[in-house]
Amino acid sequence: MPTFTTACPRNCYSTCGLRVEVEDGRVRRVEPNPDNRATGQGVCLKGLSYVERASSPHRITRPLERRGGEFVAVSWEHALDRMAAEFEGIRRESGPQAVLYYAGSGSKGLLNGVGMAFWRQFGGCTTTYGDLCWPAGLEATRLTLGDNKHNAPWDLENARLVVLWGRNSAETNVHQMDHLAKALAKGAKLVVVDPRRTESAERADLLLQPVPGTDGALALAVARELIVHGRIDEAFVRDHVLGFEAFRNLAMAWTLERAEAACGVPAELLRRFAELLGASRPFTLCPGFGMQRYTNSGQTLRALLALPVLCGQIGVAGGGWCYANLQTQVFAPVKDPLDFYPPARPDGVVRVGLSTARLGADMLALQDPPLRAAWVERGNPIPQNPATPQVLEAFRKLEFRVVVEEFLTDTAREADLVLPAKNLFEQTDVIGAYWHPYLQLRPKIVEPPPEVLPETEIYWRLAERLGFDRAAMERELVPPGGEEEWLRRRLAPWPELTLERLAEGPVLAPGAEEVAFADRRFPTPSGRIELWSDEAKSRWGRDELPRFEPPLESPGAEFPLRLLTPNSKNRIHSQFGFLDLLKPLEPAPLLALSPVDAAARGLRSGDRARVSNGRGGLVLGVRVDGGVLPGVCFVPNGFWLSEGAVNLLSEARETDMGHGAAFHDNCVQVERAP
Amino acid sequence: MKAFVLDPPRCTGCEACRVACCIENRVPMERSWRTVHHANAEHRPDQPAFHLSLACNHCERPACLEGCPASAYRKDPATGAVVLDDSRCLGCRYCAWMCPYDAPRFDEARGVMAKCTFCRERLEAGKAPACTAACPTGALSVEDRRPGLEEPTFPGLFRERLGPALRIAAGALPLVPRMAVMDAAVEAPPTEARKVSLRSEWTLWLFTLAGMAMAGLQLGWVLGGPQVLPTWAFLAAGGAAGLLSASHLGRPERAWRAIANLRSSWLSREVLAFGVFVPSAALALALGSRGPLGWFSAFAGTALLVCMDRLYQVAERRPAWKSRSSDLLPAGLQLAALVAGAALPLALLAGVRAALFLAAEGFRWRGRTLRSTARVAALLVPAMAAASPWPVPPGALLLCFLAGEALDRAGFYAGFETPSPARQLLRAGFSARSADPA
Repeated sequence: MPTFTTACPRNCYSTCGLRVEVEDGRVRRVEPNPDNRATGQGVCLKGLSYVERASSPHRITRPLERRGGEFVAVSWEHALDRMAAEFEGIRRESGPQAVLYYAGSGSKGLLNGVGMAFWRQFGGCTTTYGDLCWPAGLEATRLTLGDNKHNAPWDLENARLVVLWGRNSAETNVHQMDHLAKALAKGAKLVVVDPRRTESAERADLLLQPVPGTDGALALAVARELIVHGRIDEAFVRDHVLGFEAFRNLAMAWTLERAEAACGVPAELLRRFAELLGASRPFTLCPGFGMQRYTNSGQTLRALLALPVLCGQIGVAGGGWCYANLQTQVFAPVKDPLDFYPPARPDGVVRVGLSTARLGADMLALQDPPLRAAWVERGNPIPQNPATPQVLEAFRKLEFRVVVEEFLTDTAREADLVLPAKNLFEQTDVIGAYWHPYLQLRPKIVEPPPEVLPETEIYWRLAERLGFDRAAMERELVPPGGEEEWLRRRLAPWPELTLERLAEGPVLAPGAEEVAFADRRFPTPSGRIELWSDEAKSRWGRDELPRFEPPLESPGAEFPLRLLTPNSKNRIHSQFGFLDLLKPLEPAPLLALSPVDAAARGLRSGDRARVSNGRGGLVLGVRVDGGVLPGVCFVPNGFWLSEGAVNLLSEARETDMGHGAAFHDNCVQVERAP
Repeated sequence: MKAFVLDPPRCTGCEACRVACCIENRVPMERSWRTVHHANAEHRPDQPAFHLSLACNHCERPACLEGCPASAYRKDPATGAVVLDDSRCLGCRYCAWMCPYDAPRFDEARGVMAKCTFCRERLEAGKAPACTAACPTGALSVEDRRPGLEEPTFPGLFRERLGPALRIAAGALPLVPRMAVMDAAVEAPPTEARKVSLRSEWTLWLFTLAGMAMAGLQLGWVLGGPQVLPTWAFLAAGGAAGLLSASHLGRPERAWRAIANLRSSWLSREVLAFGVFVPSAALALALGSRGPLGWFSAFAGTALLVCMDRLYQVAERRPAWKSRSSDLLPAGLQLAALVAGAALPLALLAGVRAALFLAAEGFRWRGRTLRSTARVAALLVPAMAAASPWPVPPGALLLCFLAGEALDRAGFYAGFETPSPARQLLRAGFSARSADPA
């Protein structure tokens, strides 16, 4: 059976190296590629399930056109003619910016860039700024360290203390658990900070359960303990840190008792945490993404990051701040998060005019010209962006919607035309990662179904229909079968990066550092680690210091519970969950409640409850979980509208910095369902 | 020869092993050969939450193989794998009762059992089993098998000398860190740890009762008592009981294979004893022969009861001397004494069995005093009536006795438990779940 080396392109830390066996033109088996040192141990259950997903009977394999209430399979000729006519007409009447180009993060690859190249040649479009996932943390890190990079994943094995702060690696980055287990086997300690007792907390020496959104206060109090007890690295602070004095003054106000009142974590546990941080060298702090989906979370992450900074843990093996590792972003002229931001000087071609976090409301509000059509690829914004009802309303108001998809998602169901998308085995591409430093080739290893065209070919054919300039097409778009040539041109600046070399296995990104910032060079305005950031004020209007402010939405009498909507191991956002292999593991979203809050409502596991707020409501099965902090409830995100989509309850709101989405700034009431 | 190694503290319960197994073997998740048992999924604050990923452990002394009446299992000498030849399988599910790891799974559609093959083809090709190859945390792996019958010790594992190819790498589970709420009473979701219930096994309930009654009547007749059933009725009852018991098989047409493992399977021996008893007893009745043929048939009937009792005792790991009031052999002997009018044995058996019942169930059986009273009365009344000077119609005594037996036997099935990971977890004080609640 032929075996191929490839990689998983989903929006996931792990970006696993895979070995894939193909039988009779179909994927038969997915196994780990040990050459990827970060993920070589195994494949997660989603990666394994590509065997089903790649040839699922539910896959869209022909263009579908909405006629009346249902979809009818149509020919590519018809689909292309219709798209050319619609887009041509809209461009003529309202200008190209009446078309929304919405690209999600459902699949990684350099060829994704062809989409924007097409729309530029179209004359322009409207697109989004910001990002749903992680920009507050990226911006907090950028403001502080100057760049988003961290030590190689396997370096965690050198840590003497690992702090998983708002990060549930067991479910969202399971490969980190292997490196963590190796560190623990060598005697390292583990501290978990999370309102939930997650799977990752099971081996923790210390579990702190703060009230969601108060982590910044917790960090400041712990910083104060470290400073007061002389456990910081004074030489490091003196040589590399800007704003220590001011930060110290800020932190000194956060006594353990004050933090206990704000965070709900007993002072004794905070002290124990500070002692562990003070005594353990090196230590690695791994913050999660969920914690930075609040209206105060950029500041929160700046406060957290101060801890390894004060202890001199930046640039050392086994130490550091393991948030995002963008060392594989060598191809982008502007790295994340800067490329998420609207340009300082708009070019008049692409209108970067919609906040992803407020997609629905911004789409409805946009004028000059208002939006008339949308092209969606690699994303499922209706259930996955905040404020699902607004997003749905905005999409329904458009005249013409094209969605490129593998499956009939909630967004695809709203389309006028659904174009079948290739899968990861059907077109060659090169992908980076955001946890490990490898670039990996994702070669074409099976033929797509006969009517499935890669997006690049859809664009090419549409460009021909629309009569784009041939030379520009040849230069920036990809003719059918021209992927490798296009990729070679992109790889050309790096002689060590060739398709041949990538075909052998994962390749470390050019200049990748095993220990990030080992040279102690910090590309901030001051060249130092900035605990004081002028840009925090000038760009975001926030305090120059990571001052703690509670999140915008706080529990009250009407909506007394904080709702968290984390990711679960059984899906990547709205992908995978419906497969026969995975559906039985989590057939429906359950509302997890603490025993205290459940008892107060007379709810028991297996009951049904209505979770609601002023924005919407959902009726879900209840799971009483002794590991959940009272006052908190959670429902995994990623379920479809028919199953229970949590963004019916979320507010379209940005994070304090980075134009992220404050999904978890969300208070609800839970009642027994009638 | 290989063995699984499981390191529970490393296991995050992700179920990649189970998914990989289903893909490799083209088995749907609902019937997966590997099960991940989640302990304390509701997060009781004073207990660790952990996971046990278990499939077939390819024991040195496989309980499934020992119990299988059809000799459908064998031990592959090259890999050590316990291999099921499903073309021989009757679908009687006795192997599922026998296996303390719940490895054999019933395939409803095909009417046969299916189980982990140890990925024999992969092992022979020098590859690890699919489940271990997939494990992303290094919690499940394979190693060269250590010789001997070493038994792993861990909550969820039943300890007996089967010699499973399974080593538990961790000595102990981690301690639970202090949590926000330590005193909350967290209700554990109900665990279905039993593989047998009266509802699922009512045909066996009837079959064993019929076997007991026929063997008892025959022995009583040989001992000089009256012939209670006419010969035709006896034959009809035997035929009906046989058909009834065959009807619970996944593949009734293969019932004839059930005597293929007389060497080690009490189920095979039971089937053989039944097959000898019914015709020989009918013949003896027809000929009115209380002589050698009669004694032969009575002996076969008694052997049948021994086999029936043993097959349940072996499955629930109950030593033969730990008699229960619902056991069939003493019941059959008591019936024989009743029929033969042997007052002393009758009284002795009734007394002993009543005592056994009360010792096990007390005066409130399954919450009801009435049930307990009825059960004991059904044992004692016929014995006392037989000794009393007042005439009581013998038919009424017989019915009273049988009603009591039916009641007790029903209770036996309702409470019958065989070792399983879920039961062992419960016994260790943990809730157990093997599938997420819908």
